[in-house]
Amino acid sequence: MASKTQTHASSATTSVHALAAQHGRIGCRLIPSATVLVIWLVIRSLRNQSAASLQNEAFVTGYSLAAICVFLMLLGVRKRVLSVQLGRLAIWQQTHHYLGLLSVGAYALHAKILTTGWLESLLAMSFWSIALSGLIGWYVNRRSPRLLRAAGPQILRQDIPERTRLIAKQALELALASAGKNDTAALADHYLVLLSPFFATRRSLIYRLSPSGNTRRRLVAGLENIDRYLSEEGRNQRREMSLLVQAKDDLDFQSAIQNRIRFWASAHTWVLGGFLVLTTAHVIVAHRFASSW
Amino acid sequence: MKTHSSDQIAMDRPVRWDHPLDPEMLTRAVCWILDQPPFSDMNSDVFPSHSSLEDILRHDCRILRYEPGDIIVREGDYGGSAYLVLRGSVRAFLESLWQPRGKPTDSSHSSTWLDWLKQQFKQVPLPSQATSNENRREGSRSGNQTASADKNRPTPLQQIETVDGKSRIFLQDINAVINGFQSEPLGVGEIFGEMAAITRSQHRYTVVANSPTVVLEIRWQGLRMMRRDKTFRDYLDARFRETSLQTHLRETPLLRFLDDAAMEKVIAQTNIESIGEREWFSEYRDTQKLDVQTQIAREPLIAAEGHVVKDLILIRAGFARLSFEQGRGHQTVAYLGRGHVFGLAELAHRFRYSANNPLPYQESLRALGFVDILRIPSEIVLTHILPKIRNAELPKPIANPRYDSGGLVVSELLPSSREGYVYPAEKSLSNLETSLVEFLVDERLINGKQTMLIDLDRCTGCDECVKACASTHEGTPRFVRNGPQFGPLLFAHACMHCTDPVCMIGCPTGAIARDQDSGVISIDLQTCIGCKTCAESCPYSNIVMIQVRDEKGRAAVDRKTQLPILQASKCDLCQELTTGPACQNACPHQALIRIDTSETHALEHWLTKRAG
Repeated sequence: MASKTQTHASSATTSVHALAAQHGRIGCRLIPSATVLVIWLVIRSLRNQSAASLQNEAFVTGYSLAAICVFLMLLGVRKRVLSVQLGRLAIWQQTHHYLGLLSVGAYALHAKILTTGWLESLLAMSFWSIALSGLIGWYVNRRSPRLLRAAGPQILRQDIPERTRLIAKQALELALASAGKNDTAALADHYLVLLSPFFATRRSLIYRLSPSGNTRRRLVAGLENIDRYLSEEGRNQRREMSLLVQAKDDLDFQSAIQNRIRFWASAHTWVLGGFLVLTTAHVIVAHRFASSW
Repeated sequence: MKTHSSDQIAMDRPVRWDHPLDPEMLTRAVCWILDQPPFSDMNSDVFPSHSSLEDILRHDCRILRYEPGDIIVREGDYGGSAYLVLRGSVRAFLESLWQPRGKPTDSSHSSTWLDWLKQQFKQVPLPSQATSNENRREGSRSGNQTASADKNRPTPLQQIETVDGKSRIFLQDINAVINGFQSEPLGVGEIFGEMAAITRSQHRYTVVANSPTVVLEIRWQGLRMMRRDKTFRDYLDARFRETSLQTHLRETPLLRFLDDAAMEKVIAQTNIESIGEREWFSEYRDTQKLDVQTQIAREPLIAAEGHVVKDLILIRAGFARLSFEQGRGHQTVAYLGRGHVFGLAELAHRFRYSANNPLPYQESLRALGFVDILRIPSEIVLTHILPKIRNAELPKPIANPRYDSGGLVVSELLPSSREGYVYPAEKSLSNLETSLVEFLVDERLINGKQTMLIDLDRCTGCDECVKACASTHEGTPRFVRNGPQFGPLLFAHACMHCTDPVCMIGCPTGAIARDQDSGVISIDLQTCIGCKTCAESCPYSNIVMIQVRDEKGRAAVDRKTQLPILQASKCDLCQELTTGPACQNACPHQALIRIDTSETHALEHWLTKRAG
């Protein structure tokens, strides 16, 4: 029986590990939430002071909102700066999420949900677009790992087209092998009518936005229904075809999920560009036409 | 170099020895060395004409000069060269010279919120730092016994001095150190450092110049070529066995209470054995295609369960599988590496309870690839070692043995009970589930010191890690975010900076080498000739060949053949960054970590943390 020459895994070490684990979990929530709370209190305080001294409180809330937006954009900078120690990216990401929620509160202090004037309306729309895309992106990021795991071993996005092509080729070969024989011809016919488009074409936009197993279930059930027209050999081929349908559907699913993550991340960034332009215009206009600070 | 077309550039294909170890090595010096033993006794006919002994000496060797007290080899540093004494003499210290300086710092020991807050913004530990700390800890393990043996002994002080633009590290008051620590003198014609060079591991002892000394450094590639000469090979093997046996026994904590006389007896009776092939990767590739039980059956058996315990087995290098028969197959319980002991519990049981009715081995031990073991006969263990060990340090008694002197204890009449045998938790070396241990062993991930592990329950496939790697390495990522999977754990195809880096074995130029201090294995692009040996040797496909490009992005082709010029590419743990591996830093979901899978406790800790 083997023994370790080093002593380890004592109960004391375990408790230290548990404490460290607890710290790690708390760290990702505590720092961002404390930061957000402090910022919120500062904004509220500044706004009240501004109101009490009969100043234009919209400037306080506006610049606070702008400052929060700048902090939110710093996440992009942090992602690109790898050579300087700026703290864990996970904490930045969490802070980004919390500040994103705070920005909605700051926006509510600054303006109403719907505003008048085309510039302000566009600005409001772009703000809500960013907030919405961020929220969806957050949800997608939270949910994706579980969905990807459910679709079998992880496959790299760049490998999916080649794998899809191989599966389509195998399905075609199987259909060709079953064609021309009475015992198995039903499978070839079924392939031609129902399965060929499934293997050869991309999935619909609806599927790519919200992938589901409906098509897979329908196609597999359809394949099982032709068992009565097949011999034993044909049934074996049918089972192989069912597996290929499932494999193709898994690939489509993985592709859709991985693309969805990228889409929402990109959408979040694209809208940001428009928002920056509109914000600059809004600041200039506000200063030009405001009666007082 | 001349331009070939707009997107290609023609150049001479790099060849071996374009970059000799010492470009200023003189022909006169080479001739002088050839006249010295052991080279004067070598048969030059065994060397091919394109790699004559003279060529090897010219390109793979260099002459180094040392003053008394200069440190030539330092324990804990990774070795890539052997050293031959040409003039003067040196001292090899068989015990650790440096004792631990207090408790090693551990991030998990943060006690205050301020400490913890600092920790959050502290840089991710650099692999070099992590490994260096580990080196120190490894050093300290052997140092502990020294400390307990003689607490009054002074710690040798290292000094750094610059002479003629070159820095030298030396020990202050070398005579006091020689008197205070056990050392072995080595004179002209004797070799040292070969053990670490051959096994691609850390030096286990420190070697210091005793007088003005001239030493010939022979890098691993040259040493490998010189082994063609039988006399030299036999000398190296004998020296390797003698040194490694002594060094390992002296730094084994189990033997730390032995006095010198007992230690000498143990050394005299212990045998060292090398099992399996050092170049195990080719056989592993072949056996990987077979089913698991056939793979296990093919692994060389070191000790079989149910057999009489003849020896206590100490693992010196490599890995071994600890398993027992379960149904028609073998269940892997753990993997043992350097420093682990097999057979101690059975011998301790015999020592304490049943001298007349000894228990046989309870599990089997099989070599995984290549393993170096030391066998200490049972009688020696029972008479000289176990009486010196405190009861509390001995393994727990074997309450329910699977085998006793009569054979298998579980009734043969109830095969189902045998098949359903559950390995007792108190016997387990780790808390990892059996299937994970089996996965790690079957995939040989047990070799990894910096294994890239991705938690698929967190990974969204955003590829931020890949982008970060690419942006750090001129647009080419050095890993693939894919690889063997165990449930939600993905072991990505990224260099693991292995305990036994077999990729280094065949490199003809020494381009792929382990950093002496950090243990990181990296490729020197200046000396890589694109021979693909390392890529083909890596059992994990973690090294790829890429086309050489110039600073304008043009692909390099051979001037003569017009074929692309390739170079090996692999993860270098972002050595140039002060912030640690970019992939780990860039993961927004804390899904990617670099972890030591050669020992189970790092993985256990991480899994506990993950489970929350």
